[in-house]
Amino acid sequence: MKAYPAIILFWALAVPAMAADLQEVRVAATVSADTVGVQDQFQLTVRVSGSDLADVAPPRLPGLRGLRVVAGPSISTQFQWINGRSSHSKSFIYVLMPETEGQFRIEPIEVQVGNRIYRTEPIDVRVTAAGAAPPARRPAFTDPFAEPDLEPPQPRPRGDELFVTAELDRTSAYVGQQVTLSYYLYTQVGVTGLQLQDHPPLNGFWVEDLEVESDPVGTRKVVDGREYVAYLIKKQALFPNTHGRLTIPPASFAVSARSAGGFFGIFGQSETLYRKTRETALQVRPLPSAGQPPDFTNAVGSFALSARLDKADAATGDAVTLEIRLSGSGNMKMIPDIPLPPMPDFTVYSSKRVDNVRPDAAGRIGGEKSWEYVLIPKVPGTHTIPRLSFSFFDPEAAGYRAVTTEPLTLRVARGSDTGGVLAGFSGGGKQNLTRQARDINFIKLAGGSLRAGARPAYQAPWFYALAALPVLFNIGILLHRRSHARLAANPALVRSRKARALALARLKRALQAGRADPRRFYDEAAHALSGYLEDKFQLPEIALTGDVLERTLAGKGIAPEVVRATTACLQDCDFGRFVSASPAPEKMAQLAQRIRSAIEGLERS
Amino acid sequence: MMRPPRLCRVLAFLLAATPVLPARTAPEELFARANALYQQGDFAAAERAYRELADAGIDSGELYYNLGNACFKQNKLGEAVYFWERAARRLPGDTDVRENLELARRLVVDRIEVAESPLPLRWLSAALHRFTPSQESWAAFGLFVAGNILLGMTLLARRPRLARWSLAGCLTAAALFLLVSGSLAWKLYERAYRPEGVIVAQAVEMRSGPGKGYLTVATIHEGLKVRIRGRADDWYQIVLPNGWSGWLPGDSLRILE
Repeated sequence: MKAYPAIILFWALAVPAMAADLQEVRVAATVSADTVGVQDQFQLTVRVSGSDLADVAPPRLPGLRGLRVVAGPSISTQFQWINGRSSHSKSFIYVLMPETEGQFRIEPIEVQVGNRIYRTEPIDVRVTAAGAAPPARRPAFTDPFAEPDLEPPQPRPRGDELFVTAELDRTSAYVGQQVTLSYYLYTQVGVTGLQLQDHPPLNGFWVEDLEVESDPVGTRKVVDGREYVAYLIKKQALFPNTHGRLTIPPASFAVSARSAGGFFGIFGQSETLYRKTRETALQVRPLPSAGQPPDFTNAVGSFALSARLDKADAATGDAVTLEIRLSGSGNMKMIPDIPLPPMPDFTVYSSKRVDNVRPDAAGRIGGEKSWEYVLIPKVPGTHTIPRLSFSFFDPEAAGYRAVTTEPLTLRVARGSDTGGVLAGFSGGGKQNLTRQARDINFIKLAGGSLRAGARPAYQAPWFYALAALPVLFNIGILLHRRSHARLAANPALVRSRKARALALARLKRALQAGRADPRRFYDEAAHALSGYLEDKFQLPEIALTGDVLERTLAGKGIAPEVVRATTACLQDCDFGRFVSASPAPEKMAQLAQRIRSAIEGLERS
Repeated sequence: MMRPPRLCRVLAFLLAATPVLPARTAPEELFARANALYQQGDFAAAERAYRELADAGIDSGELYYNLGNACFKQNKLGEAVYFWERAARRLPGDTDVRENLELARRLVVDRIEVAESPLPLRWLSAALHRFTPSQESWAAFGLFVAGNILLGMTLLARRPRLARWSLAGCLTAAALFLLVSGSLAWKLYERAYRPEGVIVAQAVEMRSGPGKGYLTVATIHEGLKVRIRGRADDWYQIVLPNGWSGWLPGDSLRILE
């Protein structure tokens, strides 16, 4: 508890002192030039000054739009003692380089000193087209009276005494065709070192780095009337993947150069300079679609194909090596395996694949690709390995070409491993059936019925008429059975139905009998008629005489003239039977006719 | 209902074919000639010859099958499917037709997921589509006559044993008759009221209404078999196997008869 006053006293004294200390810190940012050429580098200095700068963190640079830090920060510290007051300053120096032309602003830079953060004022920088830039600097070299404090003399080669270029060996190419990109350093001053600073990715290309000599030999070249020594500093083989206008973005290099000329050249100072190449473009043409072979696999260049077998004679079960070799120059690394034709008589194993693709002395990518297959013959005989074919696009001839191998012949003897005659039974010689193609079935050569307008039977009326026949037949059967059943249940009705037929039959017999004996005719005829009346009207025999009959028949609603005719017939018959039988046949026929008509009359009524 | 168009067709054939066929070529002869052209690889000429026969009203499964083949060989998948489907209706049990249709179905661009119906339903459908209406009508006819004769025998039989057997036969025939005539009736109903069509345009936009101004629901491709649900002017309302429906212009599909 006793410690508190002491702590409070300490804070009361220390905090204001610390605050006063911190207030002296000043942070400022300056640039070496506020107008620069696009090819020029310039310095950004962040200067922190104060009495105690023991704990200064390197500044945090904001996002620099349009500018790029190519070096730094390099730190310089100064210590001054003025009027009994010490002052420190610490400068962080960055080397910046513009990316494009335009007006850019360096946003406030934050610097942490102790645990406080200080901000600088924003700075505007104007970037002009290359070459138009450094007029401000020229006087600095030539005018000895310029203020050395503001613009310290920087003995360095001017922009056009040293530059780098990116050069393509052609301005247009086909997709997949090799284009060589070379970077050259042109200099009029001595160069002691070179480093690739920034190399943006090359979009749309497959890139293969080509080797350059580590100690390049310069060649003398004249550019714009001035003589330079040109060094090849970097080389790449590019294979465009797509068509259209493809750009090679600028690459920047850090060059250590000895200062040339000027007052200070004599000291032989060396300094790092930053140089950027110009953006270059390549026009890439698509491969023509006309005449493109079906087996084309985007190979572009110039190739040769060969195939060989390691032996010409073998036995079944032996291993034979087939080597396919593709050589030439072009985008070989992108070439897929060359497909083998179907070889049903061999078991095929892929064994080895060798890629030997390298740039040649001229920087052309090329070489050799080889595939090895182990073939094991399954069937004895002479086998031919068909031609292998490879298609590619030849950019020099601007057309597609194909290379083929010669067919290879292999004589296969029956080996011992097949088990002789039993091979077919053991299943050893069998192979899986593979479908090689699919097609539709063949046409039908027999046309079936080729009648026009054939109408289906079920639409024709006769079809239904025909179907109705068995129905009608069955209905007939049914009706027949029903009437049969009715008759079976009523004998009187049966008798009544059969009465007429029976009577007519008796009458016929009567006429026959009458020829020999007339009296028998009258007898029979009487029986026929009276029998009919008995059956038809269920009359007892007693009722068949005279008045009784007439009354009975009239009672059944039969017409009087029919009744009269019937009784007359009966009387005539009786006359013939009992009184005098006329032997004249016409008389008999006449009577028979009268009886018949009487029966018909009775039937009708 | 069927009569006037048929009559017109026959008349049209008589009018049109007479000058075309100088020496009244018999259909069999023309068919053989078309087959020969096909075998020589002149598929276009073979197609023309087959079409001449088809236009003449010859309604034969073999003819449609060959015509489908000739179309297929010229990469007209839609037309090929159309004619093979027609052939399948006339030769329902034919393996060649079925296999070609299967192959064609694999080549159709659109893959439409359809839930598979249960096995008994599939069997029933396969059995139903195994016979042509004509064959079924004759089968129904035979069963009807046989059933009636057996009924007659039942009625006439004196011995009860014979009567029993013939009655059993009669009832069996009646059951089969009902089955076959039911199938026939369904088939005739389907053809009359639920027609199908085949897309013959390479690709056609199915729209939400009968006109170019309506929204495109889906793009379908040649060879697809669809059900026709309705018609407005020259547009058909169709239903895809998965149940989607939309409208197609009339020239993009052909109706199966």
